[in-house]
Amino acid sequence: MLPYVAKRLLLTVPLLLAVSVLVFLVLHLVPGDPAIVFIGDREATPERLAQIRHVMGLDRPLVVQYVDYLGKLSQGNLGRSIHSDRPVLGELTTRAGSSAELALASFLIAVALGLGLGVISALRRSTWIDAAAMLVALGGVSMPIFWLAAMLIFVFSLKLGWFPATGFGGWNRLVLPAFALGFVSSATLARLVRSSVLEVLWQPFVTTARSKGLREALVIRRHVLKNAFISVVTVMGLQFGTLLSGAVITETVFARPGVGKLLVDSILNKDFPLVQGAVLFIATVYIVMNVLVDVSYVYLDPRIRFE
Amino acid sequence: MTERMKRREFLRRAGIGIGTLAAAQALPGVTRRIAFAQNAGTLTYGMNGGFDTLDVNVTTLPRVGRIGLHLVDPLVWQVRPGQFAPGLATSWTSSPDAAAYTFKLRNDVKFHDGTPLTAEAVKVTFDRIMDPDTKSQTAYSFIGPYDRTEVLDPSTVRVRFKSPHASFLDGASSPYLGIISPTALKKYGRDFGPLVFVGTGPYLLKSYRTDAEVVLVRNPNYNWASRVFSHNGAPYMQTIVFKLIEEDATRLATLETGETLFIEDVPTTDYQRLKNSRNMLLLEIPQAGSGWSLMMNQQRAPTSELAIRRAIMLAIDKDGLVKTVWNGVFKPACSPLTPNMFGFDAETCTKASYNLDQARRLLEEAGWRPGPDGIRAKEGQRLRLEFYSQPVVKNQEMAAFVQANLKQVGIEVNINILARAAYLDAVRSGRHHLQFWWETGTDPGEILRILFHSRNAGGGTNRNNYKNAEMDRLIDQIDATSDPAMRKDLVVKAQQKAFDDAVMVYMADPPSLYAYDRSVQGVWVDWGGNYPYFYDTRVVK
Repeated sequence: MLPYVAKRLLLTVPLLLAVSVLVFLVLHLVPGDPAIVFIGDREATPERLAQIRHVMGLDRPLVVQYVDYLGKLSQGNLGRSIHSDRPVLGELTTRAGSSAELALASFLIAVALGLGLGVISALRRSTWIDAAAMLVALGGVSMPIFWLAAMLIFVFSLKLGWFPATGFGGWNRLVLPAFALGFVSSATLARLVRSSVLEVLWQPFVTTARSKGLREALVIRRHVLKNAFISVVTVMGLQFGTLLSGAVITETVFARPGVGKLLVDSILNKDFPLVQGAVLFIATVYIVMNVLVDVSYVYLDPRIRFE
Repeated sequence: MTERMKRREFLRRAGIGIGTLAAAQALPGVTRRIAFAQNAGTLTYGMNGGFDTLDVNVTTLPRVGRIGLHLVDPLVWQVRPGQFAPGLATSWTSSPDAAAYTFKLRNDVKFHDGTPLTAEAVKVTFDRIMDPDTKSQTAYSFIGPYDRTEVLDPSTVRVRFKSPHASFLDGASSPYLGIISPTALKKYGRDFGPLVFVGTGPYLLKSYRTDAEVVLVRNPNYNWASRVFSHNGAPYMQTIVFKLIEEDATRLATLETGETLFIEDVPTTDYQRLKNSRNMLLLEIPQAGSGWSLMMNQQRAPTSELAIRRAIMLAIDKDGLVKTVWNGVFKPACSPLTPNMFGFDAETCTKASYNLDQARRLLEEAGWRPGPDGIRAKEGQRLRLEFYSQPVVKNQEMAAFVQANLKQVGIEVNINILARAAYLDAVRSGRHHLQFWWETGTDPGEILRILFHSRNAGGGTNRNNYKNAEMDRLIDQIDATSDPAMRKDLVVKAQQKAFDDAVMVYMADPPSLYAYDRSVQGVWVDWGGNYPYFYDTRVVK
């Protein structure tokens, strides 16, 4: 398996390169001049605008700009934000910690809730338990996250005073945002788990396992869940990427720094180096998650071999 | 057993949660105050949004000015419109043509890095603002036609301008022209501003976590406070934490939970509730500058027609707008200047009041006749205006209000909501008929220049694309006149001219709204309402 993983990781290099070209081109093709966005509603003569463009390095041909960027990138230098002049790497690392913390906590909640609800409702199909679990999942799917976040703050910060409403650092500041994000993403997972488990539950090998006299718990754990998890794990991997990079609303409501918010802000500002850096970071996370998911298949289904 | 207890406890807590939610709905205003408060020596401030840099000389954001005012000292302080008190400068004179200013500096001031304040530091600060590599924004517009700074002796400095610049003292009183340490600038290079900042102010920059918080600590050596303030020596608060909390409701919630003690940009929807609150105080200061207004592009038909612009002025119900969109907290506006500005012309308030009949009459006289759907047309051209705005909720509400108003007189408005880059692209290239403007500042000449000077037309800030030689002359004269009476006369004339030419529609004048915990005492705010300053502040439990 090791050669497989090494090959996959090696393939990320051209993949990231392709991503960076694409991002670079898209950013330059959509209308809006970064220098004008920078000046915004301030006074600026055309000469001043030209000066700003020059300082930002935008007056050079596109190819030169890109080659220059690649040259720096190959030395591990992601450049500086053209707006704030702060090093892009620093901008990413200061937010990545907060994003990772939130993603991990909400992922655990999503997996615990999603698996719990999904498995229970599948095993107790067509009972009130199934209906209740799926009702909770339906709530999660249809609830706008900003509403849930605001209600959590209202009840647990303002009224009960159990958790602070904002911030980052310390487990008690993590509870509300992680729950908001985790609950909403658990819903899709729960529905997926339910259908996957149901699919496997009536397979002949499950009947065989039962007829061998295995205990029901063992049948469920070894034969049902393990086989149902192939598709679930794929979705879980993708979901982790989304939790890490797409938690913009949660981050905004709970006033947490994060990679998602950084990406949105930098796109609005047309801050090329920052967008590039953030997209490369997120792409790397997705690639790594995908490799991990693929590796997990081997454990879940011994028939799968990587050659 | 313990398992059962836990479950019971869980159910009890869940019950409390749901019960409280229900009770809270039934009993609005009943709030349990919970202490997530920081140490007694810490003031936590809830800010509405992030910032570009910590460097006051570079930024474009008033938010950075708000933090930065604690890190630097201005040369002078502005106590009332056009009235200045000593800051880092003990005295100053200006040349008769307002093109040169000489400042005598205090000689007991030290930067946070221990180096003394000298005339050279003033020169380095101002020269750096002019350097294109600095990409300075607000400071660059404040320093205007800067020519050079001459160091006359270690504590005397003369700032020269290429043309008269009567508003320079106003700029020098803002945080944006605060003086920085040349030694630190040399030491940190490009990281000065983005990562570190060294001034002479009562607080030092301790740490900065992007998109999260800025922490300032007391400068123990501070002993050069202006006489504007009630004490001298180190500030009372040990630490100030500026926390970024963009979401309005969350920011307000943190004040109620004690996570913050002072917040900015209180939403107008919560105005009444806070006014009646026992624990929190509302600080409401009319904002100086130019309120929310409508720019009408004169380079594009049909807003190039005077009659159309006059009709629009008459057809917008400012009282209604202020009540509907701004919960009655903002005041209907009259002039391009807010009423607290030097030279505000009170007569503008009597001139254009809401009058639909008169608006319709003007349009009729200009040949615009209503079509079958009520929308007017002339020579086959439908009276349809393109309104460009950014996706800000309040802007969209105001745009919808204006759209409904203008429909009543037969003008169709098409609202285009665009993200920042595309919006700026559209309005700077003049594709709009209508767009909003809002501006804060304390010098009337600067405001009028931004809105009306032809130099700022054609892609700049004058998106009216209004070009008028007489107006240009008036604005240039304002900046060349230091005599208050003469200056006032010119400012009034410019407002009248803008009214006669129906350049813009002035809709709503906002206050700056802050809220703070009752325990916070001694907050100073500039008369323009933009810079709460915590030098004299204590928290008394």
